[in-house]
Amino acid sequence: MSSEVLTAPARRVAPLGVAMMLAALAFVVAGRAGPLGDIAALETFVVIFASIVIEALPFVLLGAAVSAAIEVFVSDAAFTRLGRLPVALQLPAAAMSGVAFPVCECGSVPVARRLIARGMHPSAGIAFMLASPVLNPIVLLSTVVAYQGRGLATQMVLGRAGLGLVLAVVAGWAIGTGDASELLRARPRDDHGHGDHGDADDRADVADDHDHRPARPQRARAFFDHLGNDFFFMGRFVVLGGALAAVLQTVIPQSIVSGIARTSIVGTLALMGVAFVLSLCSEADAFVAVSFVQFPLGSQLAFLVFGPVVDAKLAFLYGATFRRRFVLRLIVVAVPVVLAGSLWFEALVANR
Amino acid sequence: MGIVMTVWGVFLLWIGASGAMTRFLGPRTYWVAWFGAAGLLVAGAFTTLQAVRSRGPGARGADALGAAILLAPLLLVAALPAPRLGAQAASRKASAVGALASFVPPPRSDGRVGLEEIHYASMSLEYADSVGITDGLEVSLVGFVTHPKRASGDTFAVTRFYISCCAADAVPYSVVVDPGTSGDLPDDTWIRVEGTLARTADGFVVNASDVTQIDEPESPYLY
Repeated sequence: MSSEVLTAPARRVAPLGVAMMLAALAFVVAGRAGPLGDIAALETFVVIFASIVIEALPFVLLGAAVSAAIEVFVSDAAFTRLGRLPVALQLPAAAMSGVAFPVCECGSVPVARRLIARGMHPSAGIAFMLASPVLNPIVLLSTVVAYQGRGLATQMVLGRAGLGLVLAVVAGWAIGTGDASELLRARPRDDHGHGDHGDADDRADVADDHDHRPARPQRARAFFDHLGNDFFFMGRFVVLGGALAAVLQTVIPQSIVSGIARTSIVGTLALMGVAFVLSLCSEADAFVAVSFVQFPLGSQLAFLVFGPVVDAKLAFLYGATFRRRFVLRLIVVAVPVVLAGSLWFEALVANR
Repeated sequence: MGIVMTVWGVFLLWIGASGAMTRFLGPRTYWVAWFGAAGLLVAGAFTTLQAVRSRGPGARGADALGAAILLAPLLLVAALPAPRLGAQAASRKASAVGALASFVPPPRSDGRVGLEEIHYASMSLEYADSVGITDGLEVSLVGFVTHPKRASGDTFAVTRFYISCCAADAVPYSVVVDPGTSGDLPDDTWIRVEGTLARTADGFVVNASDVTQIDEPESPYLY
């Protein structure tokens, strides 16, 4: 690539960058000198928004690092062998492997994307993505800690892991029917070493025996290239999703929802709605769920299973990762599965 | 890209070192910020170094927009001197319905009675009995002033948020205070309330013998 081609876009962006920095500086100065700090709703929004992003971005980085490691260090032959396994074997195995991946939902999305792009069956990739935020050991431990005071730790952990696993397998089976290129959204500038197009397209043919990994001396550089690209791409959607969640938390009183808590079905649907709005990290949500004392136990379970799979923050992340209607299809599958599972849990455990 | 990562890494270091982290995270998740700071600084340094060496693929408009989005939370935090959850947040995060009769949270091992215990005791008589919360119990509570609907006339509530992991999961614990001759106070005023508990139809109320305005505690939340 010639230096003219490299520097021309940079020249175009430079004034924009300077203008943005000056605008940012003016905003900070005006905010500190002016009345911004006296606007209570803005304070609430900023604290919630920043806290979501501060907690989520390190996990996005971790997910991007695992994703980059898969891309750079795992051979294509391994994925070719994996891709040839029957889906009936890949799907439950991928869902169960979430137990060994201690990363919440922000980290599992880039990893799943990379696994699917490299040759894992889409249904198995989706199952992994949906299972790991529910099944990972940190999440299950936090559920134990949150519910042990009520003497319900065993029931809630088994219920959460069981329903989470069922949901992941069912959703993977129902949504991941096509090939990778039909599921994944192509991403610009994703693969520096493989042309200027998304990796969903150039990696869909898993039967290709040629190893796409960079040569050994270039692997460290390729790793950080992929890490940076994934973090930069996913991170912005986590920020947008966090902003939406913060707006909803700042504007909508939770008492509106808790007023309809008494019946199992309505209470469960209401808590799924709350989980969508709050967009909590799955490693923290059990402590919030246990505070919903006015809701039946099955509804609290629905909150714990639905939230890590579908929420406002994830909607942005899914939209950037998968092709159109993925979020809608996931909601159509997740709501009835979680509703049925939580009602069954309520009948089996809570009323004993 | 590398610069954005580095800026975030420096920001996480700063909130950790300055104590500002307590406004956003609970102690259980401090490690996330430290881990993020270390990871982002390392990744940012390598990415920036590579971009400088290779002269990079050139910045684009989409990159500038992405950077602006990623840096927006930092900008907002920098623009507000000391953002915190207060009465407005409590009004949005409070639940309206009483507890299920079967719910009995465990008493504290040290037998202390704080906002959390009185909050739950107002919702469940069974819990109140189990932790020894009764009419006439002397209490000392620290929190900020809010005015929920159940606080009428000259009464207000003393409120404090409980945080598990971050401010997004904050839950407000409130107890109504009858300030007596001390009179009403504006929202978000930090106070220490001394007094005795009295049970009413809407739960326990503190009949205050003394209400003192105090500075905001170093850690504004309960953990």
